[in-house]
Amino acid sequence: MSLLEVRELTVAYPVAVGLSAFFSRRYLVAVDHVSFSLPEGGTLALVGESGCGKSSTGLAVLGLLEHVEGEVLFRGRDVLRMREKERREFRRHAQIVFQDPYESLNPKMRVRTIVGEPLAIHRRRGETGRLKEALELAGLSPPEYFLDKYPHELSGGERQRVAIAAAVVLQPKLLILDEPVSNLDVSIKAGIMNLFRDLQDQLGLSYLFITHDLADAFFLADEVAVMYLGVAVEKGETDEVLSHPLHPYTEALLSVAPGSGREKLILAGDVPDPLHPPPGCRFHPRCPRARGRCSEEVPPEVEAAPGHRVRCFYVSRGERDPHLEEPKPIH
Amino acid sequence: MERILSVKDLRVTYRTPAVAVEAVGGISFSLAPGEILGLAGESGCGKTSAASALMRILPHTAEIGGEAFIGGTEILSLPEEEMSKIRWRKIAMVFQNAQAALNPTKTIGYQIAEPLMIHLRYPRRRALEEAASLLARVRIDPKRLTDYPHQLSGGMRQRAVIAMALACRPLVLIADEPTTALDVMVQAQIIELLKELRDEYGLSLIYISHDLLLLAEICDRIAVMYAGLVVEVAPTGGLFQRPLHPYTRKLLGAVTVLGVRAQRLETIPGAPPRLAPPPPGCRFAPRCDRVSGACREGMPPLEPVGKGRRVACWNWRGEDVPS
Amino acid sequence: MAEIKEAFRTSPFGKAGLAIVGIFIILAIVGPYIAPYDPWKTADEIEDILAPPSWAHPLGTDELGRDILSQVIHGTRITLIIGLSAAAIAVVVGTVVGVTAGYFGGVLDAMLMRITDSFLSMPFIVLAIVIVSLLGRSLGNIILAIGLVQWTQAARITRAQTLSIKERVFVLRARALGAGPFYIMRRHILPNVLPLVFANMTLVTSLAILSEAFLSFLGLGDPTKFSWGIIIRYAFETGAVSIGAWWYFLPAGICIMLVVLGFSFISNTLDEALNPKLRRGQVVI
Repeated sequence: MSLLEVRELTVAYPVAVGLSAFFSRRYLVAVDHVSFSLPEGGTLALVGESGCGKSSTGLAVLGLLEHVEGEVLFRGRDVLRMREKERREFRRHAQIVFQDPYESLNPKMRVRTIVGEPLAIHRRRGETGRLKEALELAGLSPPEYFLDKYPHELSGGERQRVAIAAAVVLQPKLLILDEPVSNLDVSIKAGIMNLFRDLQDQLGLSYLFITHDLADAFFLADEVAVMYLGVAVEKGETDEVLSHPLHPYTEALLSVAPGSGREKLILAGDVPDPLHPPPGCRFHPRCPRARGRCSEEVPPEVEAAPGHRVRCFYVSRGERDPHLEEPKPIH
Repeated sequence: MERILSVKDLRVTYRTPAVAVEAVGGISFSLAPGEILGLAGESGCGKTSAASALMRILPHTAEIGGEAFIGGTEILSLPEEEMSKIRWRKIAMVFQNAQAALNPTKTIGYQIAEPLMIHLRYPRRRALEEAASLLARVRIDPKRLTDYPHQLSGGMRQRAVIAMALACRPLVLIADEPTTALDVMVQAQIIELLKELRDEYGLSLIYISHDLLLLAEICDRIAVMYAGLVVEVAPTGGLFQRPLHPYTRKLLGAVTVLGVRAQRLETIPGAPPRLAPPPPGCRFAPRCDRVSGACREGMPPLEPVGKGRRVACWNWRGEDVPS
Repeated sequence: MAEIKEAFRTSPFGKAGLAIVGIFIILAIVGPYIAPYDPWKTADEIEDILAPPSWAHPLGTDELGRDILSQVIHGTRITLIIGLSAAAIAVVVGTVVGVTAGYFGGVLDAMLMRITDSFLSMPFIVLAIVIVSLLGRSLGNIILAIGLVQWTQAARITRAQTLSIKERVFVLRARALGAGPFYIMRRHILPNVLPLVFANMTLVTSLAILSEAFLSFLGLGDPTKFSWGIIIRYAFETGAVSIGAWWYFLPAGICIMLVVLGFSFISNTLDEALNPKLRRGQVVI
């Protein structure tokens, strides 16, 4: 059984537009019926550009957002409908590491307090031994050197390692990694990426890895879900998606990743305003393969190959519709 | 060969009453017409300080040394009133944060027209016409001339800033991490645009980025900086095929590449040295896996090693010699 | 902390404020031991009644022949106790209200802030008069009255700061850990709000000292203690102003002015250090 099973997850944010907010509430749908599952010890990457809903998905999985529909099953129990006591227990097993280590650590707390905080909140004995162990695990050694430091006394990489130490101190099962290396320099980022690999081997962690960087996603993840405007347009094993991208958006995204060595399929324009998403397939206004149908109906999710799912009308059973010409680079 | 820009021994030192930080420790490079030179390096390596020194937009606490020639004029020692005639007309710059480069209370049309009115004394009407054609050139609908910056998307704002920088037809454009804050698709659009502008106007470009793979997509040559110095210069292809400096090697090994299934990434132990003042010897020596006695004594000079390549390392040959 | 030290190091007003307040605090501690007389001790000789300054009585005597210098020295302690305790009450009440309103938001926030507004809209001295007249003229009641009318500012400041801190990622992280609202307020919000609270407390202290003087002058002070306000009140009752007995009311008046000035200087310097927009000599981009 998978550790995490997300079904038809939908996340909305209320938007206040002037006086009208007073009379009727409008909602921005950030995540639209997204489903995926994460096996124990596995890594799923949610990739996409900003505003695609990947971070909202991560926060919703932890039960930190309001206006959420669908199901988030952690070991078969729905996080969104848990009672207080059960949810508390869930919080012990699921932790999160954020993008910006400058923001995610309280500047007034010492490393000792930050890493010990999960223990304090869950009333576990906060012996220094466990703190040291967590710091060592996160690659901060000797731990004694770091225990009494404040965040501002540490480098960016060290701070992110402190955040990781705090995330693993309770020996969780699931770690949500929300763009954990996006603000770091290359050489520091490499160390953190290796660390995630090591921690997974040592602790059997499962990762939900949220990133805009495809190369990072394919480095760490067994499976990817590509998101566009709140919709998961393609899901599958990383190698499969990398070698046979089926959705035109995935294809374009892979082609523009620096160093991909692919012919560039540069999409013109910008991602549409999520407050006014296009009807039908959300990608159709920028899609090189769009047909009349795409602007009218929402394409259903089809399993094109075992475990490889796509939301596109013109993909079936592992092949693109042969009647369609190959997409050409735009402009 | 003709050089549009040549920089000799550029130094930037930030002075406060307490310390003097040598952010750029004497770098030299030149730029051919129509060339795109990449300036690579991690944060704090001095790449932005070097670029800002060429634009002469550093704060007063910064002391600039060395020489830089643009079309025969030495610009680092020019008095400010002379420099203001060169800035934007001969050398221009775009920054990472396009939002900060734009005035939120003025239309983008006006902001693109402004340098034309000030520097080239265009009448207002002609300046606005020119602004419209510049906007069209950077692929923004000229109807958006009357839009304010907040009405544009991030990508469009950066295009508008590029249009502003190009208004006076500069010879050299410095692009300082212009796409770092943008999404990959928009980044690809901007890179495409800059390449076209180079082909069309014969513009020379200095492209600054921490992202080596991105630089590989746009640059003819790449200079890798570490702790205020250029440690290696090479044509893009050569640099990726056979990096010579140990730092470059490590850096390339640390990058995740799409489609390359690495088990582990290279890491570089330690941190860059403090530059107040810089340590003696090779600045990379404490983190280098090829360090030898000579490295601790003197900083190796950036020496030519054939085929347009230069490297600053005593032991660049290591085990193997480039063919 | 570094900014605060730097601010006091570079600001002459900050230094002056620290010096003034420091001297008065020392005086409040050692005062009763160095005062030349018992302030309650009346004179035996008629020529010692309302006597101008002399070697024996450097600041003269009052209508009962009591030594003014000793009264002023003893008054330092009482005045500072009233000022600091009232400020402490104000700041504690204000912080609790402000942090609670800011963190929970919604209806609770709206209610608490309307209450705050209603306190702000009343002339506070009238409110204090009502409270003291209802509860009686004791030292504790005066402190309580002043504290209960001065908390609104602290509430406003801490609410604003709480609103910004609760949006920070480390608060989200604590929520993800399963921390409850009271834990987050205590461990994450409060430590980041306290510096501002302390800056505000210095200001409220000076306001509290002024309020006490005013209440005492109106005859609502505690008659069993010599505060500076009480001394001025007695001087007024005796008609010291009309008979030209300046030594009676002037020393206490000057002391009030100096202490208020001292606390205000400290408060301004703290504000400059904690509020970057006020910092001089720096360009805000």
